[in-house]
Amino acid sequence: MSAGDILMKASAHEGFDATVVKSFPSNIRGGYSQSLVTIAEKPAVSPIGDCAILFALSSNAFLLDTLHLTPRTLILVETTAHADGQGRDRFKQLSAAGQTIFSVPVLQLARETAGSSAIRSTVALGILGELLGMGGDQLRAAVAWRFREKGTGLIELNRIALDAGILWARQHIDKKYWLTVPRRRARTDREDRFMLEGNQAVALGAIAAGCTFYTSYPITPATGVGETLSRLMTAHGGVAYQAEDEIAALGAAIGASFAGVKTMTATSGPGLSLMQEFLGYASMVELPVVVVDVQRAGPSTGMPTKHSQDDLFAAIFGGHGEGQRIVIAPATVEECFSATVTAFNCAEHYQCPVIVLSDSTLGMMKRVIAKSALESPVIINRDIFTGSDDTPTPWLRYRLTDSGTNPLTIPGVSSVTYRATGIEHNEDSTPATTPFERCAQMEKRFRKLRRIEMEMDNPVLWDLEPADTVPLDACLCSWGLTASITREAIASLRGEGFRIAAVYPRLLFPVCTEAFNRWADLCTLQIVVEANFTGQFCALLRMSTRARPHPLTVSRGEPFTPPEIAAGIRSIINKEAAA
Amino acid sequence: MMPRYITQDYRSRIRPTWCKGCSYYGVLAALTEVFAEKQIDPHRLNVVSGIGCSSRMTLCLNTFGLHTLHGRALPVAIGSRLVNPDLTVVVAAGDGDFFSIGIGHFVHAARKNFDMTVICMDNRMYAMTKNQASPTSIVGYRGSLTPWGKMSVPLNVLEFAIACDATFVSRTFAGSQQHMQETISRGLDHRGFSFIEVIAPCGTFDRTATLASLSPRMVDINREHRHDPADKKAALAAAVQALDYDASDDAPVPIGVFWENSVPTFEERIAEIKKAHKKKASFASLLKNYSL
Ligand SMILES: Cc1ncc(C[n+]2csc(CCOP(=O)(O)OP(=O)(O)O)c2C)c(N)n1
Ligand code: SF4
Ligand SMILES: [Mg+2]
Repeated sequence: MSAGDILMKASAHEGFDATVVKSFPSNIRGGYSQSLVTIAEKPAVSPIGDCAILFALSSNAFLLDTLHLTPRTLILVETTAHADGQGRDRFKQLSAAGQTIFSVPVLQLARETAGSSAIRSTVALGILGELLGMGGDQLRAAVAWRFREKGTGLIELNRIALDAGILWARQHIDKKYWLTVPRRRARTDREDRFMLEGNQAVALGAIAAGCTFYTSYPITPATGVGETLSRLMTAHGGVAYQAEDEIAALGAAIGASFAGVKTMTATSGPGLSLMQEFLGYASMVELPVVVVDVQRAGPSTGMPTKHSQDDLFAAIFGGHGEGQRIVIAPATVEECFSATVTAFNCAEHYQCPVIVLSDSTLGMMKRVIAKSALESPVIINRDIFTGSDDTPTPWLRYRLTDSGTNPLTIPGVSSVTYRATGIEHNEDSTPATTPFERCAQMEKRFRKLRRIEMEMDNPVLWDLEPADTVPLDACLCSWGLTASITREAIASLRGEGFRIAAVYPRLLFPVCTEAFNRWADLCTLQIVVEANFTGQFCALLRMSTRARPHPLTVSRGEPFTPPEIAAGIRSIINKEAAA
Repeated sequence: MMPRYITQDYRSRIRPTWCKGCSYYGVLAALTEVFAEKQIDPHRLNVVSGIGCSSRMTLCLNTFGLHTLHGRALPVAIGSRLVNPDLTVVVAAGDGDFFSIGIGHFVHAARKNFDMTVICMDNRMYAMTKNQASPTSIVGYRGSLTPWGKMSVPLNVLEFAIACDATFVSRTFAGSQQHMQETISRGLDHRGFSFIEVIAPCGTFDRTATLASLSPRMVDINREHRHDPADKKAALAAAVQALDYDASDDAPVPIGVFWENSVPTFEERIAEIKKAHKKKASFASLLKNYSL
């Protein structure tokens, strides 16, 4: 796994845009894991795409890793991985089909030069770097960085392995197969560029938003958020707390919010299920709290490390009763930062729980980010009433205002007390019993979110065809990480002459009805692309807007690829044209 | 000097919904008396409860408070303590709330030694849902879901609290205002997790025990047996016998402080860690951890 990080870092130092997407099984060690490194001149839209070079270090990788292959992919495979059985057959097949494929004795090189087979991925790295024309210096520096905490002995071994790889590539692979990547001058603005995982960007977003209390229970793939905040929060003057389960985590977050601070918890699907009762409580007592769900493929334990966007309904509708919730989904690592800030702002402003829907791929992918993406976001703080001599008694914490919200009073800060109760209540927070009282508070609570689409900055991102007059072939919608992959698919379809408009919601719930009604009016053929089996956002749009979209879905534990989405869209367009 | 607060200042305008003859009225009175005696600002008090007849306590008080979910009072209370250690936090709920649905939270809150006063109003049943057996009900108890009689032995909550490393473990009786006030007062003074079991029979569903029938059986172990709460062996021995009174109708019921010791609270440990970072790191300096 670390080879991907090193390659990414070295490329970034050369001034390229770089991303690495990781996929691995839920074992502590072993099994087949993959790093997908994207190196681009301009910032890449999709972190996933066609594979230019596949380096398979095991027979599993050689046999199973077919998702991103094209006939043009240059394949390098460890010699022992295709020595017999299925590996040998596949090697023959691919060669016969005209695929460029090299057998590389990586293991042997590692043993002979560095005396250890454990270091084989560094040999592979040397070969890859050479094929990309990287020059050894950047790679050597990146290797030294990667093993900086492991001592000079290991750094030296890795350097030897790296050089072995470089030499082998020079001697054995004809220059015509090398990728011609335009060379650049190494950039000197390292201080202003950051290498962040999605989960780390969420954590930093929380700190930037003013969060001072984080609590969680460990769960893949969300643990990275907590690991980051546990290290940073105390230095920043806050508290990070490991709770005994997810129920306790959200409970503590709500208790801390009541006591006046901005709070967050992060989890994945199983934890979100356990949090449902407390989510309802936060809605009922109208306290701000941010819950991050780094989705993994469910239901039940499902595929704990694998990509999915199947918690949308649980985030919106999970739990009993009808409470106010806001659901936001970032599509990139940069947006993991900004969406978290937005989530805090919404929680503070609307006084309700806000759920940020990330996913395992987005949470664990690494990306090089410019400082500007992390700078001075707009911060909203809750409206606090400290009390005054002429404070009306009783204090109306849940007064029936036009906006639906009221200032909060804070223990130890405000002289005016109240009891937050999950029982339906009156304006003064005493238990309510009559239908009239119940209706008044239900309407008040729902009034809060009525105008969120208008009040929020960029709740959706539009990508319209330049000329409004041309009839469209289709209008597209996608959310979360899949939106980034869809954007690339659309770019290639437009290249083929298809006329497509698209909208990418950041605010998933409450549904942006104005935007989606407008979207529906653009074209009768509407398509929603997402990574779940049943097409959840598609169904939500059918339920709450004029749109009648077709679902384009995948639920296999790996994200869509751009060509797959393009093919899916093409086939829906053609089917509709034929009908 | 005139005291700033009187007992009434701690009462909200809500009339309790408890039945006539419910022993929780006494607990409410004792709480407000102790708050007034200590002159704690109502707005610096956070009283957190779960769900049940007992958990309605929060609504009857004029302090800050959270009436949360069934079994979940402790985590919410912990959150408020962690971010505002100046608040006095009281957690009040029933035996079902603390020891059935919420028992997992109890273990951890006690072991971590959060500084709060945890009052279990033990009527040995679920009263709010109209009489079911709870973990503290006696063997053979006929609740509405166990008409043939409860099949497990009652949980000894005092023994359990000591085993969970609670640093203050006590029992008092809803029929004695004075004993309740003394115990709650000591619980509030104790720095750490103070557990108080209040024997508080349900006036409506309990067909055997009443405040009046139990009253003459109360024996204060500190006064009458000279029990030393600092002696762990003695504390455990006394706690192990805490339910022996079930054997007969006139056996003495031990009350008092069973166990008390002093160890740093969770909040104090957090403050230590915070102290190590003398200067608050700026966002920009935190970002440096991730620069290329
Ligand atoms: C999750 C959940 N399950 C069940 C209930 C129903 N319920 C309300 S109160 C209660 C039992 C209360 O017993 P206890 O805590 O001993 O309080 P008491 O009424 O005896 O004072 C139950 C089961 C609930 N509110 N929430
Ligand atoms: S049912 Fe029992 S516990 Fe509940 S209020 Fe009535 S007397 Fe009190
Ligand atoms: Mg009870």
